[in-house]
Amino acid sequence: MSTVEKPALAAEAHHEHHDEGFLRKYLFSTDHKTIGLQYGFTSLLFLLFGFCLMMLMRWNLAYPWQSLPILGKLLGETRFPGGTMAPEFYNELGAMHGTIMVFLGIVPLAVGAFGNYIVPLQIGAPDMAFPKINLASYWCYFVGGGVMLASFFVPGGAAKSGWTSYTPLADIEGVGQTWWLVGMVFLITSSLLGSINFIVTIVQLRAPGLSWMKLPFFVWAQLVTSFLLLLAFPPLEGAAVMQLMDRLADTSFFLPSGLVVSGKILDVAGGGTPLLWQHLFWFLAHPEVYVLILPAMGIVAEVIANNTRKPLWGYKSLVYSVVFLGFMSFIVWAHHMFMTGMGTTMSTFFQTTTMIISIPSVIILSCLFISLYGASIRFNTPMLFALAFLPMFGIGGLTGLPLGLGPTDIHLHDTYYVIGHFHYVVAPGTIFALFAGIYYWFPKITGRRMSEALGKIHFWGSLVFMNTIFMPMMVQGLAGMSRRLADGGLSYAHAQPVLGLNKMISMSAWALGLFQIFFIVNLFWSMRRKQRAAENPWAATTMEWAAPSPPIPHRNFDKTPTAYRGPYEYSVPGQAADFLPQHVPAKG
Amino acid sequence: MSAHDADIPKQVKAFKLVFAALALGTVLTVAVSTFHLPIVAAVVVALLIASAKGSLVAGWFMHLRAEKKAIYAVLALTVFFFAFLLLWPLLDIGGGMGKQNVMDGVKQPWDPHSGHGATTGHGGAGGESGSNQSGN
Amino acid sequence: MQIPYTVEERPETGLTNGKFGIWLFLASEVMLFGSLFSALIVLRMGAGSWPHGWEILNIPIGTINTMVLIGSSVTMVMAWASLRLNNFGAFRKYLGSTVLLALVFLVFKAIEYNEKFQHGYFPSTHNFFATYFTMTGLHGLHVIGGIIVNSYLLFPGSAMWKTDPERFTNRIEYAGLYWHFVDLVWIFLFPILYLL
Repeated sequence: MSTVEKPALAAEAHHEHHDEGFLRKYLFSTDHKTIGLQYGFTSLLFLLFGFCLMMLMRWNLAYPWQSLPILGKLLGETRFPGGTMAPEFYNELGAMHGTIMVFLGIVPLAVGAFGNYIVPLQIGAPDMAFPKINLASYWCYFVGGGVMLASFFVPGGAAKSGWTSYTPLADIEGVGQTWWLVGMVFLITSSLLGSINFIVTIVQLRAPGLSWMKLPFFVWAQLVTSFLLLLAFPPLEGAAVMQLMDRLADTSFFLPSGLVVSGKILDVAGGGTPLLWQHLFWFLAHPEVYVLILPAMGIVAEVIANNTRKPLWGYKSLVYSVVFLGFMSFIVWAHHMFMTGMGTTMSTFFQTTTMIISIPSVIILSCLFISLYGASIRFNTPMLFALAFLPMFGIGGLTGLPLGLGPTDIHLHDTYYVIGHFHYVVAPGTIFALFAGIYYWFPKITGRRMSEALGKIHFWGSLVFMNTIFMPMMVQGLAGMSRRLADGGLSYAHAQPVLGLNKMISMSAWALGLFQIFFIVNLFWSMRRKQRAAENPWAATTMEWAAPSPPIPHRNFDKTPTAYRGPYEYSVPGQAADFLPQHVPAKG
Repeated sequence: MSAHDADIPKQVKAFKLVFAALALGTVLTVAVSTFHLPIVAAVVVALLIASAKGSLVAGWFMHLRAEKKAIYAVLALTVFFFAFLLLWPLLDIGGGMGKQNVMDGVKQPWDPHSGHGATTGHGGAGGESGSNQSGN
Repeated sequence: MQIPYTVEERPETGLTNGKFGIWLFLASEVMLFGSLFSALIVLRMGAGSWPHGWEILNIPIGTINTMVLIGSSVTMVMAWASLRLNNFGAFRKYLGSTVLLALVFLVFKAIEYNEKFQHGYFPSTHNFFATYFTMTGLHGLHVIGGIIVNSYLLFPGSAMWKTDPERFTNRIEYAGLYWHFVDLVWIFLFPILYLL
């Protein structure tokens, strides 16, 4: 990449950009990088908001029915009658915390932001295959998010039936649930448009020489994720349509005959079943949790390869495992429903597939662990988060095993053990990986590095408090304490021995929130740093580092790169440098 | 664009034949339905005819007969999961899915074989008063 | 910079981006209608009583509508074939017919729905109607979507024929794939709802 050409091309692109008005350039851009950043900022804001909802919940769990100073008054009489939280509001917080974190936070960040920004760069493409559809997908997400937020202000408040919206409660509760369903339709549409874009882009727009087994693992992970979104989301959309019909047209898709509500038989035709909703919901929601973890595994793989200065161990195993994992994820869903009275045939089938699906997960984790053996590890902030991901995801995965087996699930279903399990995978799991990605790719996006000092404080604080939040939840769950209780188990005798943990968990949650301030400050302060970073400050091999920082608008590279080798050629014997970038031709 | 320009008039002939076959299939499926076959046989015959018609549309109108491997792979994957989505209730041997609720004898709002139309458009029929708790 | 393989095919896959994209979209639509068919199976199997389609629904109108939609599939593929034969006039005639036939389908649907309402049959009456109205309703929304897309391609969109005829022909092909899929869904929906 000649330095003479660079200013000329940059100027041409700059000129192109100058012709675009503010709206075209920043709000309605078709450039995958701008869209990726839009997704990134929006999703981080939603993550923060979802976190705040949780911090409010933790108040009532630590101090049940006690007056919340200041905030209690601010949130009004309906939500905090007399200053204490209304149980209905607690349910709102619970349902919306889950919905917002999963659908408005993690997936848009992992797929919409990281996927959009990095995938075209890593495959040497100028943009995504369908830039206008990309634009539409972001604004669908935005509108869906707006609808979800607005639902807090409708009569009766936001949805209250859990992020799982189980019927019959979801069928009969207040109008906020209708808003939830409408919001979901927008979000599902956004994901469908995005998934089509990703699959076509990865299949069709790979640079010359970039064959399938030379792809960075991050790209493989995004490809499989997109197939999950493409094929698993539509059944939820169908189910949402049916629930809307139940709510708005008085149908009985999910309402059985003779349902008694508040002492009276519900005046509907009946003949439906709540189990139908559960099956259709979990048909999506199980693949959805793999949507939550796969991009994260991809990011961790990139950061580990880079900071161990050696190729990933077992690249082929990683690829075959992630594809197999994606396929299996479609046929395990009813392990969320073992307690619904299913027959032993169905139960056996889903226990079996669930045990089988743990195999590729273990293979992936093992390959990443083994990659550390004999490595020259650089303990920078992204690597710290990536390293922590490994045992945290390990704990999350292992704690899933008793949930996936019927007999043990009898005891653990709907307890805090489940909450501990899935948060371990998503919070110190996926979110740590996403932090790693932000610290790692920040220099490519902004041309500057984030502060290592602030990053390390952010890391250690987050690691400690994530564990003091979620490990005690396992203890509470094993004691039988149920989830979704506004009073944190106060009214149940069997929960009394573990009630004390509630205060510790809540304070850890608030402390975790405080430590995120280091990240927020770091993010904004570093963006405006005067000192620019090198083009490839991590000495990485993958193709995104071949583009300028930030890459050229609407074209990314001066000229289309060619892939000459695999993605992780670090410490190649006989080479002077300890890395050989993918796009650099072989010498001699 | 793949150069089968010479093919087009031949394809047009095929389209007309397919249309005739589809029309025939439609007439056939309606005719068979008048026999009021027992339910299992009726379902099998209806699905067979529909699948035949569908294959014609997919194969000729949608050019699936000459499509690329990537498309076949995506469709094969989809068909597998589609089949799973439709057939999982078969796993529920001995389970409770779809089992009729204990509603024998309880007055249903509308019985399709009672010979009457619904008394009101709403699910409510005589007797079942009670405020409707449905969401607004 | 141009996105590669918008008009020419990528050698490795033999596909243009748009062709691949539309098939992926159709795959997702298979899963969408699949969930509704799944619901129908579950609800019917568990129902105390469930009428036969031929006891309640208007089979003559359903049959006519089936033929109307099949006819529109023929005109749609003929529209594409006309462009391949460089006959823009024939293209407009065929695509216009497709849109018209689709509108006829909707008119008959409206007549049918109204007939049901007049008899006091609503989605809320029984799950038979809930599934009937929801499945044909969702299908109808897809018909409307197709009308909008085809109308766009027939009028403002057809300007592309002058500037980039190959790309425009491809667009008609992709719109056709969507339209044939809508027809395909009806080919299954009609016997399952009306004739069983």
